[in-house]
Amino acid sequence: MSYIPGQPVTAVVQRIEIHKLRQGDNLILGFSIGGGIDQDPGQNPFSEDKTDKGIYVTRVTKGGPAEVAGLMMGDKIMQVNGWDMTMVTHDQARKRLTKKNEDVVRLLVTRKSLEDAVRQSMMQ
Amino acid sequence: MPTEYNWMAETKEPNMYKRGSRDSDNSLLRYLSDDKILVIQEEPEASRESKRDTSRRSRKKGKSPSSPSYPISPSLLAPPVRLDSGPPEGLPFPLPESNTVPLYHRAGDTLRAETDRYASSGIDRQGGSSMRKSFHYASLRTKTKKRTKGSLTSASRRRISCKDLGHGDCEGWLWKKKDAKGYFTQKWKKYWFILKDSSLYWYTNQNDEKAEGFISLPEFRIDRAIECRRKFAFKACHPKIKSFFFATDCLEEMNRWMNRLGLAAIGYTPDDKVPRPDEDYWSESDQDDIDGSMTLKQEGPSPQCDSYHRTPSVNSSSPFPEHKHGRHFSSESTYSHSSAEDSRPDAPGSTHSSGCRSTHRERRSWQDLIETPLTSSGLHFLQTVPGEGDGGGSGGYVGTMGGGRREPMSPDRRRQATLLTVQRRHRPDRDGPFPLAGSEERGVPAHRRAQKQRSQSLPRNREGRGAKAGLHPAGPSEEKSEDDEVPFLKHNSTGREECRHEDREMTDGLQELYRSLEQASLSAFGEQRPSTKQEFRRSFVKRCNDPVVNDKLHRIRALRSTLKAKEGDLAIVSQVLDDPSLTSKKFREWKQHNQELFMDICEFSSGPTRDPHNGAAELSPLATPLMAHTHSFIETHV
Repeated sequence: MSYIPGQPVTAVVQRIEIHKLRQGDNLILGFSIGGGIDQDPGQNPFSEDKTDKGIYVTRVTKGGPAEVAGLMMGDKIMQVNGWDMTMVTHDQARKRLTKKNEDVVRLLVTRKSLEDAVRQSMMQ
Repeated sequence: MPTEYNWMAETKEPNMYKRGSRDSDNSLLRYLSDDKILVIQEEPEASRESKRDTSRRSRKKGKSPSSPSYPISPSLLAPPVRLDSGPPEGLPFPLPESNTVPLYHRAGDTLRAETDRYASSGIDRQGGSSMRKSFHYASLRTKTKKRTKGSLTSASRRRISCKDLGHGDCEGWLWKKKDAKGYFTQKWKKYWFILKDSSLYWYTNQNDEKAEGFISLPEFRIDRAIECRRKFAFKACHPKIKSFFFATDCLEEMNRWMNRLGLAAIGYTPDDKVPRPDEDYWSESDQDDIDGSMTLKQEGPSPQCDSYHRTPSVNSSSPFPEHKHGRHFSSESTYSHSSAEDSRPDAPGSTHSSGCRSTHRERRSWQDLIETPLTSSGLHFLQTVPGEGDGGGSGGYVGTMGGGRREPMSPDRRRQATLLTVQRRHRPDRDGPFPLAGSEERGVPAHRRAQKQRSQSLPRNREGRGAKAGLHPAGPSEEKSEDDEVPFLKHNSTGREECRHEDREMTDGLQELYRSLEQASLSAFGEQRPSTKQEFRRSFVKRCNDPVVNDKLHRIRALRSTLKAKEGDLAIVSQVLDDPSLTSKKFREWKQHNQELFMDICEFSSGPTRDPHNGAAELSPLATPLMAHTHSFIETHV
């Protein structure tokens, strides 16, 4: 998750497919997001780079669809159903996740542990 | 839609030209058309304005170039309301998505802040005209909102016929600038203006059933409009509403109106008028695309004149509400308003029979007026009249005197009043509230009197300095003279109906006064009042003489306020917890609304588990964030 200005961001990502759960009138995914280009990145407890304005997963409800799908707290969401999430506002992110006509969202997430794992395996 | 709009314009035009034979039918028509414009005007303007809108304001519908026909009030500026079900066709900018835009800026802000943001973003664009435009957007929002509520209030303030309104404090024909997009399409139109109490109404003619527009003057600031191309233009500015531009044909007229409007703007105490939430601050019907060259109705000599009393007879010694009136009046009776052109002969000034020519130079702005120091007796000098006999006193008109009365010199008496008589009359007044040493008083007025007789220029400086030279924090006599000065000052600044300066030479007498006051830790009324930070702090901290008790009291105060804050937070939380029909949407809204509290709660709840070195007791993590409100990391549940 290192960001070199001017260079395309590269990251090791994991695909996570979340099937939304219907709760009454709402479709919930079972996690919370934080961050956004309109937010203060310094407040983000999960980001390594405190200037990173990406969307991060701040909590995952136990037993919810997100947890089942393998989403973990602290993940940075890179894409949702193909839509970029690295340069969006908080509300735009929320909207892209909560589209009512979509039952499934496919996320591309990245986390530090992934990168470490890949690096480790490469080094070996 | 554009066709409809044109249709409206057409019906209006013939009305205009038939002004000479205007009758009730026409005014009825205008009645109708005004209301109809409410409906129709929105759409075409939207498409016209849409091209221009690239900022996020684009979401709001455009506004008619002429003023909105709805009264708006700053407190009513609401978030955008969709006028109809969908946007009109042809809007190039994306609408629904940008709905998000106001939302997250609103988090934590008040509505007003949002409005200000939009307004200020408009200012960046061009020049003065855009400022007005941005206010239009703001006003448009309210316009639509009000319309849905029922348009009674919008035109109701204007539904007063010219005749019913009666004589105002000031009346006359004024040019009013129609708002037009861009700088080069300034259109001026002449209206019959009536200033009544603190509201300004204007009619296209004096027989109108309904006022073309009205503004409620308090909160407006009257100033010279240098940006206008017209020579004698002035404006009424409001921080939240657009500015109104007026113009006259001569300097005296302009001064007169500026005076009167300015007086009206400040002439009322705030608790009288101000915060009525649905108060109509102004209202204006849509202007037509007629340029200002309409012929005015000739109804006879008097209505044509700018008249205070509607008596055409002019006598320079007869009572007038304002010193200038005499001049104006005599001039206006010879004025012919029949031509609506700008080029009016400057002869009016020379047609005076009375010797009262004003010595004013250019018009001073309102700010100047306020800042101009007063004489030590608290008088404002108006223009002085060289021609008038100095026999017995000054040629100057005396402004309001202090002594606790707002209107000591009734307008009737003012004009020829000499200082001598005035002083004599008011000495007892002054003695009343402020029992000062008689000798000192008597000494000073004599001095002043002499000065007043002397020259036209306001001898304030010298006098002020003289009075203040003896001003020390210590001596009681000096303080008294300060008291003497200051209450008059106060009264003058508040009750300055008749005061006007024409002279520019005043310097910072008033500033000096206030500075000395501050040094002396006195209030404007002469009481002891803390003026330095230490003094303030001390006065706050010290509640009783015993320091121990003091500390305890202080502690109690702090704890009480903390308790109050916590109770407030608790109430906010209960909003959510006590709701039996809580939906995630509601919760989300609540969360966005109370972000900080929510974050603190999250921090608190996850603190002890996640972050072991977060804080000692359970209470402290909660206490500090809530009091400090440092966190603003927003989380949204999806």
